[in-house]
Amino acid sequence: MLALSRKRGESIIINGNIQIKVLEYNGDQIKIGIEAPKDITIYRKELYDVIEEENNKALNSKLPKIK
Amino acid sequence: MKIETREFGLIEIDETDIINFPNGITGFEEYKKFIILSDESGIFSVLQSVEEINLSFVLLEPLRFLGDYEVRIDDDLLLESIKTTTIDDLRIYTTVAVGGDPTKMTTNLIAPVLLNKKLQIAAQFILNDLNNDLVRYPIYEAISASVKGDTSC
Repeated sequence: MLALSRKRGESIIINGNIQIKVLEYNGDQIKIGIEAPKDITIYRKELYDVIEEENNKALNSKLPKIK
Repeated sequence: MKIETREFGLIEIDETDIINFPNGITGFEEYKKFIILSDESGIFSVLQSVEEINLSFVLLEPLRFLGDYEVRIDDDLLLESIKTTTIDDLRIYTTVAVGGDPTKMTTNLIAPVLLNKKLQIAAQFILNDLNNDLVRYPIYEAISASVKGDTSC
């Protein structure tokens, strides 16, 4: 993992087309702004992890037979 | 062309049956080409990767069984990725998780698969609502009620 320090208002640019900006911070919460091309998905990680886990569960499911 | 499927063995499909997932499926983003196969039950479908036989998901259409299920996508950019401007043009599927006991099957209402059938493009969208009850929503009751022709809701 690359670790960078930024001040309020400063940005990071990834892959030439994804920009991450520190908007504000308040105590232990930080507001981050992200600019990225439309085809790039951006999710809070805890949400992403839950869905990934559920997809894995679904993957191990076989087609049920319901009469 | 012939492809290997986990549920149905070797089958024949047409190139035009192939659905493109530009962003893949959450957790499996490198796999972009799938087909959706119907099951004889008329209840479930199977989302099968044409690139990896073991990447196979059971799907259902939640709107058939849950009258009040609503998919609201506030971010227009998400819909742009599947080249649509309105949710009405899309077919909505959700994945099904089922273990040994079919009566305990659940479906993931937080991360529906939205398909633009005309252009054969789809994506799995994560709705911004982390609610564990909706990630593993018990669906067996609603399905059997529907199969029995029970219209009480």
